[in-house]
Amino acid sequence: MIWRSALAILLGLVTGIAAALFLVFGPVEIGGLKNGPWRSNENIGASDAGPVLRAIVARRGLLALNRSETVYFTAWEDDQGRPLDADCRYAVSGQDMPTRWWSLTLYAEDDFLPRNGDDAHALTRTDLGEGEWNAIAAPEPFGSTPWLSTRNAGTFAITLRLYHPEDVVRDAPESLSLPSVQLLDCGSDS
Amino acid sequence: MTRWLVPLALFLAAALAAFWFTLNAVPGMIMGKAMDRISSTAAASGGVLYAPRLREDNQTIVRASPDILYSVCAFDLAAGDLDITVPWPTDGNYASVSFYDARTNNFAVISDREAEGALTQLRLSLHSPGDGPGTTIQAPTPQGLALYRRVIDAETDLDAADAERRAFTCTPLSGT
Repeated sequence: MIWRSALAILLGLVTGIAAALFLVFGPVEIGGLKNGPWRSNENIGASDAGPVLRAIVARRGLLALNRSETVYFTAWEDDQGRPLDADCRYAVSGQDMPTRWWSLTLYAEDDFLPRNGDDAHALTRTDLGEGEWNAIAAPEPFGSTPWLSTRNAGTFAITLRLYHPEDVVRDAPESLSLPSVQLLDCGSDS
Repeated sequence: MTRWLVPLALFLAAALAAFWFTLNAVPGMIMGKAMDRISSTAAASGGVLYAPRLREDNQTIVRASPDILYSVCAFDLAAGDLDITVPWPTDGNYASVSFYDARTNNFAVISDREAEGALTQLRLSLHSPGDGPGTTIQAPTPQGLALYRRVIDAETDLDAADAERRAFTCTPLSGT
């Protein structure tokens, strides 16, 4: 009985640690709210975030700002819910957003900027203007269209940062008009 | 029946405890590693790490932004308060200083929106602000990070922005 109990405790400890590490370091999205392909969580950067979210943010977005300063949205999928793939081309388009300034940054599967030598990791309101805009996320540039390079990015993500957002961003993030991410083609089709 | 019930209950209790302990320990461990790295790198520049503009070959923290110039100091208030000078951009771009405790919680932030001049003087302390002059921010833990962000965009003069942000300083006051 003693040996059986000791074994149960040992297995329980290993299982608990493994489950927590998988949750933090595994491919778990920071859920919360959804707007088209974009996801965000009201508790990012907040001191009252729960232990699960705090641990995930510590791993995936260490030193995030609170929502009065910056609201973060991240797209891991296109408008149709398919995972973003570095071998595909996507039309990223939108309009100005109710915030002081914004930026789009493409992160590779490992949550770092993709290492590809293209120097095309981010686009901002300064680059895209304050009206309607169109950009492309693809392994190669397309004419003069503003470009986010997906080369060597694997299953990538795009993060949208809204600096000094207006109240509507914090009060009704699900109803915001955020950029669309539309699949154009993949691999040899492109 | 009880032959299996007791081990099963022990298994579940141990798993739950280990799960909760690990989840609560991870932020502190990640933050501790970041603070150690920043402290050792910043020692040569007065305790502040003036990070170069983020590129694909100099990344150390996940999901950092290439459109921000970061400056950061790790603090330890056990020996005394910390005086912080925060410069605000002259080109009108966003800037802020945010404070994180040892468990990654963002317990305070001040941005250029609240600025009343070219510089803001702050004091970071473990004690409550009281009635003294200036702005004092109370930290919930002795150790943590003060992170200064300054937006740079396609129109920013990078040399001027870099020179400007070097006015961000963290000065320990021993014995306060």
